Amino acid sequence: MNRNIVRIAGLIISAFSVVIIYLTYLQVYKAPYLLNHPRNKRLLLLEKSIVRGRILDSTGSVLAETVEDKGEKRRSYPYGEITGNITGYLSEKYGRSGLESAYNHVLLGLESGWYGDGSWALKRIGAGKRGNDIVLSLDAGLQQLTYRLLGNRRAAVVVMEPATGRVLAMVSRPGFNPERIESDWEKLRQDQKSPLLNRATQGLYPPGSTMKVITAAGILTQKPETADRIFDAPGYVVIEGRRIEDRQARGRLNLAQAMAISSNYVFGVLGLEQGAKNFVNTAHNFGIGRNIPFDLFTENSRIPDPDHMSRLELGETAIGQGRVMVTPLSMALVASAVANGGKIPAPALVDEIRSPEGFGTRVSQPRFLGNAVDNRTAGILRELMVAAVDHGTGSPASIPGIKVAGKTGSAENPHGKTHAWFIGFAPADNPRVAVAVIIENGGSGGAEAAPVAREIMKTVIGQKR
Amino acid sequence: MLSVVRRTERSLFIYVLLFLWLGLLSLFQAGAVKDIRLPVLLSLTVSLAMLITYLLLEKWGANGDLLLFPLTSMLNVAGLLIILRLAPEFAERQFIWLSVGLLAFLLTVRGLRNYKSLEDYKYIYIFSGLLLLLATILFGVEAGGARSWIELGFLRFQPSELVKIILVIFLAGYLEEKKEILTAGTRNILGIPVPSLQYAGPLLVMWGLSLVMLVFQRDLGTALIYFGTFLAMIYISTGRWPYIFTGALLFSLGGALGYYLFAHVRVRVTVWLNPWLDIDGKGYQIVQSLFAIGSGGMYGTGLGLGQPSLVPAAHTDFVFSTWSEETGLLGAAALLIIYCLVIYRGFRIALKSKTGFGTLLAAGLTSLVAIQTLVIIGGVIKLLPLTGITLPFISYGGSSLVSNYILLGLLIKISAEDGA
Repeated sequence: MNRNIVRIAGLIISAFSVVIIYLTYLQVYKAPYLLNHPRNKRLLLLEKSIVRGRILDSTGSVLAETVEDKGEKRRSYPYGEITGNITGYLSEKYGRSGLESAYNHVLLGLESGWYGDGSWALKRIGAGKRGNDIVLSLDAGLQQLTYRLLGNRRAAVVVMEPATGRVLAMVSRPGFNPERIESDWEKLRQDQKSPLLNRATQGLYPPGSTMKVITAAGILTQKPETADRIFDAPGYVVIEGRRIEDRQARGRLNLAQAMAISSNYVFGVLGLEQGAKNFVNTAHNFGIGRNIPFDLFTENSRIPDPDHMSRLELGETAIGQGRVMVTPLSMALVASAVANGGKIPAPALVDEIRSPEGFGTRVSQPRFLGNAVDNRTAGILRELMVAAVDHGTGSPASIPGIKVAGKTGSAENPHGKTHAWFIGFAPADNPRVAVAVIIENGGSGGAEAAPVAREIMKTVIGQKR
Repeated sequence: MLSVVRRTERSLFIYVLLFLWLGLLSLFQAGAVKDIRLPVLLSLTVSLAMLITYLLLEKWGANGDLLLFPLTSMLNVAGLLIILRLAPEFAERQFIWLSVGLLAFLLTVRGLRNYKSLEDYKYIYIFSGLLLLLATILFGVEAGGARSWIELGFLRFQPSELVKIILVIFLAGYLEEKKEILTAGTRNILGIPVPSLQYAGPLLVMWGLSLVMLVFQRDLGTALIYFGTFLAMIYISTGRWPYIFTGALLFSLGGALGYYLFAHVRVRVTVWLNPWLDIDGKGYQIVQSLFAIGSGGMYGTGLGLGQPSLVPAAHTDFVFSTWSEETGLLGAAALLIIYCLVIYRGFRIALKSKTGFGTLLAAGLTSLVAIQTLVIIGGVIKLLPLTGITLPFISYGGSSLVSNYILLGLLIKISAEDGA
């Protein structure tokens, strides 16, 4: 009988262990899901009793704060539509987006800077009435300037510090004003220009000639001697019977000249020579077709599978047409990687989380997503991009006294005029700023996008460190 | 040796009281208890009542298991804190029930001459127990979907709680008496082992009783507890796994039959499988319970700082969800470990008992507590279908609390007589 008792006891204790394991699953693994579930009223109740934290830019300007207005709490966004794509909106009716969504916990103080879980300790000492502030790497002044530079066009710009991935400005036009989200909702949703779309991270565009930086990176990794090769360009290129015009590029060209005048012939051929596998692999190394971790909702750039790429498609993709689609954020990372000796920084918007009582701050550290190319290749790519700005299509981006590296693009698309692209960084020898500019149906990258990039780069470099 | 254990018990008891008063302080500080006067008065009474109980045990030299009472007191205090926080209007009544429980506990320990005498009148007990159940079915009132209450004036009680203990006493006596027949009872017909009537008889009777509970009282939880305890006891007595297999099979069969015959069983199963489909309707309770538990996270919100009022029946069936929300995984696991310790002590008493009846009785009572705990906790965390039963020593509810204290008294009595 005693042995039987021990067995039954064992069975019962095992059942208790199963309960504890399942509870661990619920309270640790599933906890964020259950707490954030839209039908769980706890966060809403909490929100009513907590003053949500502020969103600040790197200079301390307020981008979002909760103000009390005749006893009513209201969220105010002093920069309105200029930073709407970053802050996101907050609405009882329509939920939340942008940083208001991504940092909801932090702003509510559920995750304080110094204590990992719950509001327990803070509430005990009578604090916890205010959420944490988040301090961004964003510079509201630069953001405003960029927003104005783009005018009323559909466009997006990403400006970052190449060494750290800190985003200095990220504009998407047209924007929306988060303060008026509830009254404007229907209008915003039906607007053909999709103002609710954050083009900087979610807009997918053919990269056009900016892709040539990646095509060059691929061939230089495979055959470094290509840097000294001379090409004989006929003014057109025929791939699988299809003729692509290339009028501006005729005669004997070295690689730097080919990049400067953006020769479709040279880069189409270089794409075919390196093969689909090497080419797509290089693009992956630059983050295209890969998941980019970021605080805001981000689409992945796309490139077709090398096994399903015909020679015609490979040639087209090498000059940035075909099925390859990229986001401005993705192209800003391409420019940053070249600027950074091949290392791709992880893009970051939030510098710091500050608890209101000064219990502590959490400062984010720069992270890297990997190496796109080796240091030597990055050096050659930089020279090619300098050539493009010094005496090529990118010359409208040049700044007197500062060496600028860049590449333009005019991407053909089914919706009309070409999309105007510019990616680049400056100063070329000691990069402090990298940019990606796209203006939808803007026309030529050199004429439309490059001048915008120039103003931005000039402003950043002109600022004191 | 004994004095060392006594001292340990005494220090354990200090923790229990410390826990009560610190918990009360937390609740007050968190603003969960508005008017502090009544809670302080009640806590003073409880501290005193528990202390007196403890001192009386010591004075009587009831040298039974010395750890059980501090352990269950801890559970009881946790329950009291939650009731003070959630349903202060019920707190007074629960404190009265607690006093009655402690009294019943002392009476069991002191009043019972020796536990072996229980064996003698087992048929009378079970007969009166069955009568009680019958009365419930005929005259009972419904509450919370189960028809398991009898109303006597202002007093309302749940006979099935008391019948549980009667059933265990009866089964311990019966199984001890019929052990040989039950162990021997299979015959082979054409090579297939077929249980004889002696073998199958008790199984079928218990199965029938559980099904009656299920069908007439709509009380799946109690049915599960009755049947589970019975299976545990018959296995302990005979050591034959087939009882458990056949039993489990029979119960599933009954369940399946219930599923096709009764809409309320169907609803319960559907809700268990996927409560998210009907968050506002049938799945409401379990989803709210999961929200509470999940929102607690690792460390919980702190006593008095959660939102347990979002969970229906938070102080009775869902008391464990509240506890998990406010004390987190750490608190929930601590509670489960206390239950495990209670169960360990219970089985230890069974192992040390010098009579077969004592062994079976202690093991049966312990299994009863264990199964009841597992069924209700499994229910609120969606590991099992939800059943409306109480969490031993914690949930609000007089019948349950008093029965559990009688059960505790029996365990202490067995250990005191047979040495622990």
